[in-house]
Amino acid sequence: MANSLRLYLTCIRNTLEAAMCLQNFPCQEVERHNKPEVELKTSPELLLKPILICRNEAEKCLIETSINSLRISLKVKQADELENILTKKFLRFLSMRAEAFQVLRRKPVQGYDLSFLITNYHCEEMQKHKLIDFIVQFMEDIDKEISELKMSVNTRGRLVAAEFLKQFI
Amino acid sequence: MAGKTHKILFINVTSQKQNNGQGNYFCLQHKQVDLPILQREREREREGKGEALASKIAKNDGNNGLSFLPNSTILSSNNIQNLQVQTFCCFLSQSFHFLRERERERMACFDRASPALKETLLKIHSAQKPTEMDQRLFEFGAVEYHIKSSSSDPQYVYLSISSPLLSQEVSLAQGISPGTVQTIKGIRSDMVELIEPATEGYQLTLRLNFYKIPQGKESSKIITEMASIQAAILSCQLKEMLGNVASRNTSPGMYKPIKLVYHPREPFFVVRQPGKTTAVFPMRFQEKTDVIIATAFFQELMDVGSSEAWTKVPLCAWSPIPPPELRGEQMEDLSTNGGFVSFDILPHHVKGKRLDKTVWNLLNFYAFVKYHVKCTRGFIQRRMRKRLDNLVKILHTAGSEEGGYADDPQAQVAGCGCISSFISVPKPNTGRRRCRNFTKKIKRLRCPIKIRGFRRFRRRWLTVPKFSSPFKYTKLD
Repeated sequence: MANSLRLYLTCIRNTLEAAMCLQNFPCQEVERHNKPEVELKTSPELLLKPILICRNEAEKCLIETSINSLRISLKVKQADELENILTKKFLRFLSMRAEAFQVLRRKPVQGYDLSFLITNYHCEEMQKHKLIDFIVQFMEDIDKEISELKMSVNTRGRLVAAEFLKQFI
Repeated sequence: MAGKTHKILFINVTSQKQNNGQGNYFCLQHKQVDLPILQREREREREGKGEALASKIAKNDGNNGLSFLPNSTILSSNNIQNLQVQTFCCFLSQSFHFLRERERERMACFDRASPALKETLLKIHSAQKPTEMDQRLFEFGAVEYHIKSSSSDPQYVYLSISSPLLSQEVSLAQGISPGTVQTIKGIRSDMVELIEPATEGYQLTLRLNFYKIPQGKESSKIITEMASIQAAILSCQLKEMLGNVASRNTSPGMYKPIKLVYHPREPFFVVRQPGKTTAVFPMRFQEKTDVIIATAFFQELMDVGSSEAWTKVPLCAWSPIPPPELRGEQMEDLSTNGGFVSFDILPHHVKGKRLDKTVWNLLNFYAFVKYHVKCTRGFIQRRMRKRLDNLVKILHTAGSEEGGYADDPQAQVAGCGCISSFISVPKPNTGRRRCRNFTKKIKRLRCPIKIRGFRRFRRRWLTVPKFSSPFKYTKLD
C-alpha cells in the first residue's frame, strides 16, 4: 500500500474510533420517533463539528457525527475518463445493492461519491471496531478495485488489438 | 469420451535474475498438452525413463508467451510487489477467460457463412422426405435471403440474395460487377448455378443441386461454402477497390473518398492514394461508457500496430478529429463521438491470399470493436459482482462474530445470495425470545393435584418479571 494511502486510512480510522460513540436518543421534535440526527439536523446541540480528511483534492472523506448516528461520505479519485466511468459504474452498482451492506446509503451526499450512515443500532448489532475495520477495508478495496479494473480493461484491449492485427498476417 | 482429444492448459511461472541485479523476472507461459501425451509422459517419468515433465513442457518450443502487462510478457518482481498477489491472479484468470472466449468469438461472430442460411440448407439436405419451403431470412447489414424448394422437384433449391451494394457511387450503375459474378460461379460450380435473370427484388438467384452434395461430413463443408456467398459478394466489391492499389493506376479523381455502407448506420470510407489505400472508420457509440472503452482499445491498437513485431500489418491510426482525407465530406458523416480509425493498406497487404484476409477484417472492424466493447462491459460487471460478494462477507463477519446469531437456525431466512445472509435477528430480540420461551415453559408446569394457594404461590414466585429497556419508552397506563 502506498505510504500516503496508509496515512490517509490511519487518520480516518482514528477519527472514526473517536467519533463512533453513539447512543440511543429519541427524536426531540416528534414523540415516539427515533431518527438519525445527522440526517435531520433539527437540534444543533446534538451534532458535532464535521471533520474533513483529504488525501488530495480528488480524494477526501467527510465524517459527520451526531449523538445517535454517524455519516461518512467518500470521494474517490478519478484520474482520467476511464477511471471516472469505472468509479461511477462501480459505486452505482454498490449503491443499488445498499441493502446488502446495511450501513450504505443509497444516495451519496452532494459532492461525494459514496456515503455510509451508521446508527447506534448498527453499533449494537456489530462490534464497533469491526465496523471501523469494514469501512477502512471498503475504502482500500474500492481503490484497489478501480486500479485493477482499469489495468484489466487496458490489458484486455491490448490482447484484443493483437488478435485483430494477427488476422492480417 | 473415446475419440475426443483432451487438452490440459499448463501455466509455467519461472523466475529469472535481472541483468542489472535489481530483482527477478517472472515469466508466464502457457502450453496446451494433449491428455494422452501427458499420461504417457507421466508413466515414463514414474519409471524414471524420461526427464521431469515440467521441465519438458517448459523447454518445448511451442510455448506461447502471454502478455499480461501492457509493455511486456515479463513481469519484474518489483511490479509484482506493487501489483500485489490478487492483481497478479486477476491477470491470470482474465487471460484464461480470454483464451476460452477467443475461439468462441471467432466462430460465432465473424464467421463468413450465414448461420441461419446454413441451418436452413442443412435442414433441407438432411430431411428424409422432400420438403416444401418458401422462406425469407433477414440478416445484419440489410441482407435478405429467399430459399425456395418444392417437393415436386427435390433436386434443386433456389436461393435468392438481396444485398445492399457497398458503394452507391461506384457500383449503382453497374449492379453486381462481372468480377463478383465470376467469383460466385467459381464457388462449387458443379453444384451452384447462376440463374439469369434473378428473381424480382433480388440481385442474384442461384440454383443449388442438392443431389450432387455427398452425404456425411463433406455435406456440411459444402453447405457452409454455399452459405458464405454473401460474404464473397461483399469481399469482391472491396477487393476490386483495394486491387487498384496494386495496379498503381492513379488518376486525378482517385483521391476522392468512396463511402462504403456495410451497415446503414455505420458507413466507412476508402481513399485511394498513390501507393496506398486508406480505410477510414468514423466510430459512433450510443453510450459514453462504450466510447471510453473503445477509445482505450483504439489507443492500444495504435500502440500494438506501431511496435516492431507488427510491421507487416496495416498501419493503424486513431484521431478524435476527421483525418484530412475526408475533407469536404458531409457533416453528418464526420460527426462522431468515438473519433476516426484509419488503416493504411499498402500493396503488399493485398497480394494473393492476404487480400481476402484484409478485406474481411476491414469489413468486420465495426463488429469486432462492438463485440469487444460488449465483452468488456460484461467483464466489468462480473468483476463488480465478485467484489460485492467479498465486501459483503467482510461485513457479515463483523456482524456474526459478536452476535453469534449466525448459528441460530431460525435466524437463517431462506433467500438467495448475499442478501439472505443479512436478514438476521438482532441480539436484543433473540434474548427477549429466549426469555419468552422460558416463561412459557414455566407456565406449562401444571400440578395434577390442586393445592390450595399454589396458584398464588406460582404467580408470586415462578413468574418471570417483565424487563423493559431503559432506553425505550414504556407505555403509561
